[in-house]
Amino acid sequence: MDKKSKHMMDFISEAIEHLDVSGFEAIEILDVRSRLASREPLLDEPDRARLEGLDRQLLQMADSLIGLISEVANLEEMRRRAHILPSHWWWYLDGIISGKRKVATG
Amino acid sequence: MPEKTFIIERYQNVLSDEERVTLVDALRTIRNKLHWKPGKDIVHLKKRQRMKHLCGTLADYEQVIYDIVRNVQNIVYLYDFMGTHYYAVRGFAADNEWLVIFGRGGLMETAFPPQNIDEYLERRGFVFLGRVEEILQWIKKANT
Repeated sequence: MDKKSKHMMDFISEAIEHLDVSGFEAIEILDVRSRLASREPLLDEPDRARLEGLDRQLLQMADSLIGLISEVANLEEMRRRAHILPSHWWWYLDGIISGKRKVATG
Repeated sequence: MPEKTFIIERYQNVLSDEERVTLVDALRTIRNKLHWKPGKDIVHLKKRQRMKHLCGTLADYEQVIYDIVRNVQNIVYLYDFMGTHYYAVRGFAADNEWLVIFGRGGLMETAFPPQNIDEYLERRGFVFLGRVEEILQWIKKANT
């Protein structure tokens, strides 16, 4: 794996483990995941597997992540301001959570 | 009127008189003594250590923060979230460029070195206010 991609994956991995500091830091995880997205074509199979694992963790932690971010930022406003691509699903975790809740409540 | 003074006053006008007093009070307080949310100091320190942003004690971490907020040349930003104001000072310490974010009364929110600080500030909508020394003079000016 190239050094930058490894650094970004290490960052996401550690940052997810330490969410309980501030929404200002939690939101940086999304920035870094977006930066990593542009490097995905360069990743080999083991690296892709690691990234998939990190993405699963992001989804599992979505409630906490969005809860923290929403203490200091409006995610919709952040998406608009940063011109976030629809393919960068991690920026839409608020929608994913609310969709899951709707399905759960039937 | 010199151009620089004009620019400072233009940014100063982002805040009302009362908001400016609140900012200067917060800046003076954090420069004097750090106040963490209950129990958060160690949580933040552990994250900084795990992220390899620094090794050392809470005193070392706090010294990084003091170095940044006490350097009068460092830049101060404003972040507004639904009327709640946060302030940020960016500066270099411990081989990184750090962002110290705090709120009303100088209460610490966090201090960390963003991976790309310019992009971070731009994408979050932080507003440039001026150098620490300029902000501290706002009240002096207002009192004269």
